[in-house]
Amino acid sequence: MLKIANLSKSFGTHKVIKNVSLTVGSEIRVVLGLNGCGKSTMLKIVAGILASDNGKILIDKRDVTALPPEDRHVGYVPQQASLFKHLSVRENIRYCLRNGRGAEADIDQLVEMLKIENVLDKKPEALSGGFQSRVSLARTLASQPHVMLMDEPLSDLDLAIKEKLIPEFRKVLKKLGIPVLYVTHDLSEAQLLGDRFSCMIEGVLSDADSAEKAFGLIRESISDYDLHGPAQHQLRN
Amino acid sequence: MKRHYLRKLILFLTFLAVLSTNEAICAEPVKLNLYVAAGLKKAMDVVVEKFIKENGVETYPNYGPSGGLYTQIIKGQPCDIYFSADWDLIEKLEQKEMLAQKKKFLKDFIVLVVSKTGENKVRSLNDLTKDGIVLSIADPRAPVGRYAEKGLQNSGLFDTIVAKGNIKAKPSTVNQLAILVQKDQVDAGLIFQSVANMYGLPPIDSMGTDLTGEIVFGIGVIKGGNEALANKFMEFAVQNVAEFVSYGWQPYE
Amino acid sequence: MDGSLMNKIMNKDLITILFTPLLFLLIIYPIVALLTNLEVPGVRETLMDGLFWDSVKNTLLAALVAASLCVILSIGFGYCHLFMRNSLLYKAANLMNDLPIALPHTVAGLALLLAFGRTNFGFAGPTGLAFTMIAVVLAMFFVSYPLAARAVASGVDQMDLESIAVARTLGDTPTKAFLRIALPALREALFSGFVLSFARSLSEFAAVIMFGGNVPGSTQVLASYVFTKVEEGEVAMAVTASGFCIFLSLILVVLVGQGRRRRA
Repeated sequence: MLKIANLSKSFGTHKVIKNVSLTVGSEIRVVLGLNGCGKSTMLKIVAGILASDNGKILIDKRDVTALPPEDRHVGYVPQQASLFKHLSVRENIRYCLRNGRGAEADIDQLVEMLKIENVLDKKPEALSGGFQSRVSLARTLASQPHVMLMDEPLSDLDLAIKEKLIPEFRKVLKKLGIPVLYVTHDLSEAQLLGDRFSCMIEGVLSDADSAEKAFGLIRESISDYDLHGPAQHQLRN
Repeated sequence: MKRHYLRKLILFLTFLAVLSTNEAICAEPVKLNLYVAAGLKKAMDVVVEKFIKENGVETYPNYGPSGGLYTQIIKGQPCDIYFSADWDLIEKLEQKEMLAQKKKFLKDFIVLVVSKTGENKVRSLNDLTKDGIVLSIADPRAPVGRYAEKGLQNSGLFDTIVAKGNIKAKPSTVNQLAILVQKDQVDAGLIFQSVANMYGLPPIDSMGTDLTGEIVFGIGVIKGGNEALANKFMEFAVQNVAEFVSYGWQPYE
Repeated sequence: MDGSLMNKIMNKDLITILFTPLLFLLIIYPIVALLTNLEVPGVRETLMDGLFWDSVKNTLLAALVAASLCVILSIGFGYCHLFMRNSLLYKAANLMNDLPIALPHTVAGLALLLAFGRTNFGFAGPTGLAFTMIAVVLAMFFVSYPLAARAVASGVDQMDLESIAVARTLGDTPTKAFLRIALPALREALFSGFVLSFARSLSEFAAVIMFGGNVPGSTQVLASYVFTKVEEGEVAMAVTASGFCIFLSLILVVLVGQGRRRRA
């Protein structure tokens, strides 16, 4: 279980995350939000890549707030696949073994489930975007993380490829039964993938009953801007 | 922001450049281009100041290594009068028919100076052949290096010193050499008496003219420049030779 | 409409009209002028001069070691640039990157002499580290290191930081992530850092003369050999040695070009 309590973060004077609390059980929790709303920053804080100003992060009741990323046992899948360019696909996926994490048998199964058997000896640059995403997910899952953190890993893909990948990814993630925190700005992606939903608006997180409701809240926040924010208004003209 | 400052800086520099060229163009009174061996600087500064006060002439002394100044002159840089630490260079200019006047001005000698550590190891020129001596002489590009080498050769010490590898450093100017001795980085060095004086390094031995040959600082008046004024300055320098004597040179007679 | 089109053409042509002749006049012409002054007797005399070959050997050897040292230290700087951007150590190191560039090189030589000369390093020999090949290497290193550090820093700036983040979550400590992921990604930056500092080392002489000793046959370097020959009036020999410098630089340029192409 992942528990985030009263998390805050500022860059200079700009408050990016405002007192966020969230509990994720063995489910896929999708956080919908516009670009720049703070959802990626939240993921990076949970992963330990960024430090928060306030708040606590607990993974399976263990307080990891002060731990470096390597001691948190979280899986992080960034927006771009960010594969290790100098290594082959096989070496990418088996990377965690170097640190004594994951198991060979497990990795073989992942390779099969994500259908990457045929590209194992290729270099990442020779792969299509869809396959890069598959490898990126496999590389992270191989380390048997206690929590998955996914920063819209499919947003750069073509629509058709995305539609094909989402159910596959859902199947794999559900099978592991670990908490998955998945952030995206895409409603259909959220609908197809998520079990439960939240939306993040200007660094404030709120729960929603469905993806549609979460999206609706975001839509409202934009019209609020239109009424009160002259900057947005000008942009439109 | 940064670019803003940069633009201001460039504008300012351009402004300065324009100002300075203006000045150069506007100022048209008589002026004297003076090329002087760097070693003479301290004494020459005094003489130049006196000369300007008495004659109201703009004088531009350009200090540098004698060889470098010589190269500038033969490449046609504007020079009216040249003070060289090396008489050979004056004669070379004469061969190239670039000289209106020449005069032997000062005499100098090669002396042996030692550092704090060297004091106990080196007491005379002959000690330079001992094992483990760290000796520095100037690179032959500086006249002082050539004189020192010649002096060592004529005294029959050079081959032993080279064979033992005692020459550890060959700096490019006599001033660098003096610093090496002053900062105790070497045991001993061979430099001009005048330079030793300037750096407060007491000579413990010296080379006679029989070893090094005559060491003459010469004056050359360059053809085609402001010859009358150059001659005047030459006479003025000779009259004020006491300034140079106070730094350790001897007047050439 | 017509005017703006004209402007566009003018702008484009203005650049070609200005740039090409300026490049030729200011860069290529001087090099050609030097090479056309090569004379057979000068070449023969230089190539027969044992001290010339000694200086070539000293230069190449010392520059090679110095450039390697530059790369090794710049790797350390790259680590600080990546993981310790807010630390005092990094800020101090960053400041030091600019200082040697601003320092006159004779002063740099003097500084090295006072630091590593026999007053402080007397245990290392009768002259400390000064006036040895180690001194030549240190002097070259001192003036060239900033180039390597800057090359590596700009390489780090262009790196995919997310891949480092992923490596960390897969269990890498900062050191491991740096060695396994960052270093391979920095290969090209390290290579160009090596070449830049090697080239800079080849041409350094002010600091090398003051600290290295400049004794022909043992610690004299090529740049100082050229300088000495110019001052001695041996112009033909100086031209030959300079031509040799240009030849060395050309080889370097070709090497860099090939390295880039292979990677592309």
